[in-house]
Amino acid sequence: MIDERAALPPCRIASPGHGLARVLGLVLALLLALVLPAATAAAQQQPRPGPGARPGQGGPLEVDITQGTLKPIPIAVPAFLGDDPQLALEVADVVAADLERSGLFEPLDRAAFVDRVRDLNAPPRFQDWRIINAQALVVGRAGRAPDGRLFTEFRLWDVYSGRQLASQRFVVAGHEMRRLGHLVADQVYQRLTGEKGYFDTQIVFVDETGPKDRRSKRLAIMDQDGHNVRLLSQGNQLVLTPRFSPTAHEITYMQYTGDQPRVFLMNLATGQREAVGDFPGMTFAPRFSPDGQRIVMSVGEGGATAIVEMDLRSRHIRRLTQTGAIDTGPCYSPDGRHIVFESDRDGSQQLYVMTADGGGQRRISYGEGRYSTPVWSPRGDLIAFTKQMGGSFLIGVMRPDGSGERILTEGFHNEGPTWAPNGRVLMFFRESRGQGGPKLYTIDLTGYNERLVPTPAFGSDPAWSPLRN
Amino acid sequence: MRGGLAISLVLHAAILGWALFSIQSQPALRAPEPEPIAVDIVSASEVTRLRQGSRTAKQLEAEPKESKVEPARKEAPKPAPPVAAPPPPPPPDPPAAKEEPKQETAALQPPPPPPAPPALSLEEQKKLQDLLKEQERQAEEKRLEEQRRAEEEARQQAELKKKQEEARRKAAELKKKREEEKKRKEAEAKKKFDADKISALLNKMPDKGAPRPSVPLDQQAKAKGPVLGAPEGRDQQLSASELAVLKQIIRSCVGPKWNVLGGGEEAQNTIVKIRVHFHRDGRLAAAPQIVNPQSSPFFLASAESALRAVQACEPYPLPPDKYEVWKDTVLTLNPRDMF
Repeated sequence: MIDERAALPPCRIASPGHGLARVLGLVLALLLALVLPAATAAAQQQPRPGPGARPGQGGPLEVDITQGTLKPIPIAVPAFLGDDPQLALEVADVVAADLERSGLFEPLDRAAFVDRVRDLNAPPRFQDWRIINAQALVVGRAGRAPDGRLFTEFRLWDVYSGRQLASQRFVVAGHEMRRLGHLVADQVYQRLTGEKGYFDTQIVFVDETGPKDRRSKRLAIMDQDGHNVRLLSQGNQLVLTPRFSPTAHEITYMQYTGDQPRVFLMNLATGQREAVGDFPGMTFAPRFSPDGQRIVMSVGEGGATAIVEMDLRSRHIRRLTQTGAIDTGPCYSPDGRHIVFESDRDGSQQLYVMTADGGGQRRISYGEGRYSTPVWSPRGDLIAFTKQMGGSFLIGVMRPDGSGERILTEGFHNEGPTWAPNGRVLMFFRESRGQGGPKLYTIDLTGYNERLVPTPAFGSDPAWSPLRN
Repeated sequence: MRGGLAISLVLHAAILGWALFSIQSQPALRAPEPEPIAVDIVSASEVTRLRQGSRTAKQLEAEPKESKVEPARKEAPKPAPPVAAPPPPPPPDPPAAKEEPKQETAALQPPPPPPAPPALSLEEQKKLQDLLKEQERQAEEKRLEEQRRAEEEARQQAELKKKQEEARRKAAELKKKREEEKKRKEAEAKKKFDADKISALLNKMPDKGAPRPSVPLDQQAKAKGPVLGAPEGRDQQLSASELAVLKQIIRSCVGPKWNVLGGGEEAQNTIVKIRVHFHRDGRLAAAPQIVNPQSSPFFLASAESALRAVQACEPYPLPPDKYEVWKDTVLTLNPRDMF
């Protein structure tokens, strides 16, 4: 039984009076009155364009194109003009052959040409060149100057826009006719691809002749298209790994004198040779620094090999690695600040990068297999290498930090890549089974366009010179 | 407390009112333009056939292969039921045949003792002996028959076993053949050169373990219908609206003529934007202009390659009645799909 309970104080809100209810109602009405028009106004102020709205009212039509083609650029190279038609035709043929071999251009068949170029200084009839689907046109003249030297001049036209893209005049010595074509091809290549050309260059390599058990190896130098081969040594001793100096007047190479391999320098103009350094052990795998002042090479001591740098002027020797392992194959970066080399200090041959004074040595190759013969691209963005994996030889590229490894070619005994001076094309040598000897090949860094380089006999250990001009 | 209530109401109203106005002043969210979605009509038979196909097949499996397997499967069970029928009949017979001679011999044994006590005449004895001999002969015949039947039955069982083994062997061979064919077709498909799948940078690693550095390319409107397990990729360029049709007309002409410079150092990041003005008949009203010019020689060469592609395509087959839409166009050429 509950007695009387103390009553709670009355809750004011629970039992509002009439007046309060009216106030509340008014406030609510006010809020609603505010909300509704604001909402409708907001809705009307920004009308959203539906999917069918015409863009013409708002701006131009936007089209995304994300897929193009990798076909070579069709280009027309008619025979050059000149007093000596044979000379002019040969120069034009050199231009067309260089462009075609790069894999980026497709010189059109001259038989299909509609128009004939008669005057170098008159604009061509572009409609006639558009019909055969040429995107660019090279017109030129070549001849012999009164003083016996050879000259050429050319104009490069963009057929669709009708503009002249390049024009130049070159003069060379009387016996260097093919260089005229290479110089013109370099200009055309550079203007149409945005990258420097590589046609006016030479290759130094080891020419191999004779049967396999009595192979004679001689140093040789030739144009990058296989013409004008010249032998530099007699073949009495074994020669290996010739390399160009950045000034292109000297090469350095390794030769066995007696039983000991030594590094030599040879002046290409005079043929003079001298030994580099006076080491008790063997020295090999020499390379120039980008400024041409130093040579970096491997020196053998006992069972190990160290990388050593020698200044050519002062003959001062500096030792860069000392691990007791086999460190060899050094190559400078194009800015001269880093060196990439191969070493087996981790148990198998791998690639390492260090600063030019030997510090900060770190490994960059971590894939399967053994890595060797690293070469830094003249563009600085890639390092090419030879890789052995499961019995096959691969040539690939990777970025200087070791990422982005990409294989360009696989074959039996592919090795020794060397970069063209524009960092776009690689040359290497490969000895296919049953071929009898190694041959030189080139390949583009995209992996396309592998070509055989014609050599008089077999060839190995190629090295690409810098541009001669 | 009335005052408190009023103040509270006023403050609430003030906050709500401020919220309303501040929300109103926000810019409205603009919905992105819907991408055109490819629509394909798929019949039920396509879907049911797909279920029997392989996960990696882009095309539907060829029919002959399926029908080759099924008759083999049907053949294998077929011999089993008819062969199963004969075994049941023979087994019941031998036991029945066996039982009869037993019963007969059992029947034969009791009769001799009873005739022993009564004296029999010679003739009767002879008759008895003849009877006995006949019964023995009959019993022997029956035994021979039963033996023969048993041998036959054993032979039939051996034959049946042989047939079953053969059927099993055939099925295994067929299975192997099918697998080999499948492997061969896959190898062929790998080797077959598909022009739509060109990558600007090749990677020729000999085994499958090498990772692809970039996103695989789109299928260019060749795959038909839904594919089990295959990545859908980006949608095909089939039109779902007029805009998509116009864009596709331009894309299909300029794309194949645009020579991408793939080996340059900055090739992956080079984007060229071109502004084009058209006449009503699809010809260019003026020289196309580069919207985002840069000074590097590589960009200049890429831009000129793109310009040549745009110029090589005229006259563009665009519909004149929609001229207002496409008379002013900006093309963005970005080779990202090729790396």
